[in-house]
Amino acid sequence: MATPKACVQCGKCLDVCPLFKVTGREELTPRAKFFLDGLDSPDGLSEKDFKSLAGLCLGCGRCEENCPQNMSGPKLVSALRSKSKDFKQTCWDLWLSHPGFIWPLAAALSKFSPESLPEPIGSSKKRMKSLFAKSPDSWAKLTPDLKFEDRKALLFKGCVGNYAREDWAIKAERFMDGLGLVRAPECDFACCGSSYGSAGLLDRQAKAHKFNVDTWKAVDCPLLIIFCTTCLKGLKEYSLDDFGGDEDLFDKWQSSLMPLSSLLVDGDITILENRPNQVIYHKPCHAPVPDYDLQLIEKITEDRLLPVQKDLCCGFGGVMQLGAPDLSKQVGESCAETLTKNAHAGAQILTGCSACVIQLATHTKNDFFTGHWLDILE
Amino acid sequence: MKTYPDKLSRAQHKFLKKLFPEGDSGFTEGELLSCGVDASRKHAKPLALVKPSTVQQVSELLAWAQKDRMPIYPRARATNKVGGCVPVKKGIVVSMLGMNSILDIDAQDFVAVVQPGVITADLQKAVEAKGLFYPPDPASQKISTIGGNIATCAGGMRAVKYGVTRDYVLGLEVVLPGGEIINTGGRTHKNVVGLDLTRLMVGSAGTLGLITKATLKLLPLPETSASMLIGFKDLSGCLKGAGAVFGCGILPAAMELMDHNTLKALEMHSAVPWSSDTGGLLLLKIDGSQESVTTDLLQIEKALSSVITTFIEKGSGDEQERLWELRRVISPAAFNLGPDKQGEDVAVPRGKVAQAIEAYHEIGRKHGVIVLCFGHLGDGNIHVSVMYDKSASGQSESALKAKKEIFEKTLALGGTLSGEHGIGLTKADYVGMQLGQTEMNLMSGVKTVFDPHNIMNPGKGV
Ligand SMILES: Cc1cc2nc3c(=O)[nH]c(=O)nc-3n(C[C@H](O)[C@H](O)[C@H](O)COP(=O)(O)OP(=O)(O)OC[C@H]3O[C@@H](n4cnc5c(N)ncnc54)[C@H](O)[C@@H]3O)c2cc1C
Repeated sequence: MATPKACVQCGKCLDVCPLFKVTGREELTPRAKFFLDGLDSPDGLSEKDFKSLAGLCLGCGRCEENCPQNMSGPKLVSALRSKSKDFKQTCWDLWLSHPGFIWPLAAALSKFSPESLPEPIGSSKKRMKSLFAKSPDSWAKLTPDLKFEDRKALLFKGCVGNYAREDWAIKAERFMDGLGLVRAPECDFACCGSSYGSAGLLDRQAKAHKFNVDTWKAVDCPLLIIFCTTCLKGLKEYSLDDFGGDEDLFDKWQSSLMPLSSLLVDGDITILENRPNQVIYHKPCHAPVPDYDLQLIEKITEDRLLPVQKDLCCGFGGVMQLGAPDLSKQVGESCAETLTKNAHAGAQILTGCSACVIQLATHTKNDFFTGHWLDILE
Repeated sequence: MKTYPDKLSRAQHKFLKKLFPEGDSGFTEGELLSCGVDASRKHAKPLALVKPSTVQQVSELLAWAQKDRMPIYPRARATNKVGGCVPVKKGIVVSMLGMNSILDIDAQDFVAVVQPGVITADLQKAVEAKGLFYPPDPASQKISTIGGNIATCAGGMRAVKYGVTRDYVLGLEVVLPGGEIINTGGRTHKNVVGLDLTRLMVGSAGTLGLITKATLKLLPLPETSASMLIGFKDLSGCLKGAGAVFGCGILPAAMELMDHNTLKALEMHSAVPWSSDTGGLLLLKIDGSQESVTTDLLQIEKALSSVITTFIEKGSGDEQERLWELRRVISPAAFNLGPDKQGEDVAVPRGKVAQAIEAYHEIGRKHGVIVLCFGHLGDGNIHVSVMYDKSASGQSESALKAKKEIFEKTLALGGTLSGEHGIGLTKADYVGMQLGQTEMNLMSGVKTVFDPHNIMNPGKGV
């Protein structure tokens, strides 16, 4: 990765920043944040004002990809958030560290929350329903190609797969069996660390990294199968430091990370009669290159896949759910609307990122089902 | 010396909030600071930010501003490099980004009617989908607006064959200080009635009025195009190559030059395709029908066989964009050679390019700064970037001295201080080097007719 230099105010990030595209607010762009960051007091903002403005970032990372100077909005924000923690971060920390206890509780409570209340309460009922949703009837039967003999593997279920959508994890493990993978002894991983990082909870992130690496080592470094795009990104971001400087181990980790879809794309597919007429693929901001989720979905949808729009962010934004829920909602609604612009009722939106699933299901009209591609596979 | 309001009165604040309700006006520090900077990296803080969505709003705003002697600073994507958007006299920043609809694309009349906030590349995509063509292509086409392009008379790489923005503006709707809405030109491709106010507005950088609508000329979309990146040992090789191309009677759509320092900056930026003995590059594009492009390419290759080249790469269709991306990233890649940049975009008569570039390098050597020359060889518009390090002692002064000498040399060769970026803040002090007093007086008279109280983008040169 090339090293970041200084922002030259060229404005290329405005072309891709989802917050700017939806709100038209220049002060939210990475360009503005870098400019404000570079101002010395008394010309600039107070530290408090700067932090609260700069913190309004969805963490999609598109600016960094488009920046000729390799500047990264999310990294600036993560560093800022880590410097001084506030109540929102404490809540987010709690949310991520105790999902087994808090998520079902929040889901139960949200049933009583009126939609007329401001965000994040207003959408919470639908959001919790989306988090604990059930799959619709599946419409594609996939028999994986037998690829492995005796290769040990573990499923990295991610927070959503672990605590809300066990059905995704169960399906994924069935596919792993079909691939001929041998399951390593069951063990629990912590959060991949990605959400902690963008929220500036860097100690938490480092702890999660260490815990996951130790867990993986303890079961003899098996393949790690992943079905959530953001988990995949989070796990790929582990650094040599997380492995105590052991380069061999670090390389082994990198090569053990396997998106489940990459193993399924050449499986045998039977399409069932209830396949919807239109399918929409939502490409997550953190989709890897190549995007195997898309390849798999192209294969099962054939000509029913609407043209893929590659530059849409769902607006989930991690801690933004608490820090600026209105902005997150505005981006989410705009994304859902753009995705479904040419779709008829009954169309299904599929994606490969757990957070995108929840965010889009919360903000899409009830005419459309939104889910993970695992939802519709049998 | 004219004075402008130092802060908003309660009544002024109330007026703006009422005319621009909800999120369409901004008064917070974050909003004000963010809308006071542009790609020149100069900045100032206005008193308010407003975001009109209708011409009526703009008209009411300019009527009020005239009455209250309030400076108005038009702003689009703020990619101009001369401080054109910087609110040096405070006042109101008017962001035109919300007026961003394409109103009409007419394949019979060969015109498009657009609001100023439309992103240039979006318009190009939309007209191309109908087999039409809007040629002006500043390197910033994906990140700048039609309104900004018109206000700066942006040029682009295709200027050598197709001309610049002014050649495609048929008519404008402009709101004048005082709020009156005027229409210049029209929908016809020819029009000689009256003085040419359209041309006067194009390139006036927000100092005469606010552009709220533009009628643009379109061409039929050429069937295809192809590009060629050609390496030479040095600058004189490049110029011989260019001579050979023009000599065979072909007018390329674009002909760009990159000197050895430019190559160095690109090499430090990303992987490059040329061989290591390359000290200068020509990048050219030809367009037309499939047959003509094929024969033109053959002819150019034949012509080039008479000069010494180090490397040739060709591309057609989408894949030629890879070659052009190299050209587009020069501007940011230049920072690999020094943390600070003073960018000039002088133009000289086409026959004087070699002499000019050699002189610019000599000036750089003399002052201990790095000079990088690249740009539109085809029309003599050379970007001269002086790279230096502000934090090193004496470098800022050296850069300034170099700037002055670059200008002097340019003018001595019969050139101009700016081919496309304009004057704004960064070059305002130098205009007198080029323009005579009588010409300046005439211009300031014209300015007074449009803007008697100097509320439009005050503090800037054009
Ligand atoms: C990477 C990069 C590459 C570039 N390449 C080129 C190039 O190849 N050729 C070139 O010519 N320029 C180039 N530029 C400079 C810049 O992109 C152009 O000047 C462009 O036309 C500015 O458009 P904008 O939308 O950003 O306008 P802004 O920068 O926002 O505004 C430019 C000027 O126009 C005024 N203005 C804006 N809108 C209106 C309006 N509606 N009515 C009246 N006045 C208005 C503003 O006050 C300002 O003075 C480049 C810049 C960058 C960062």
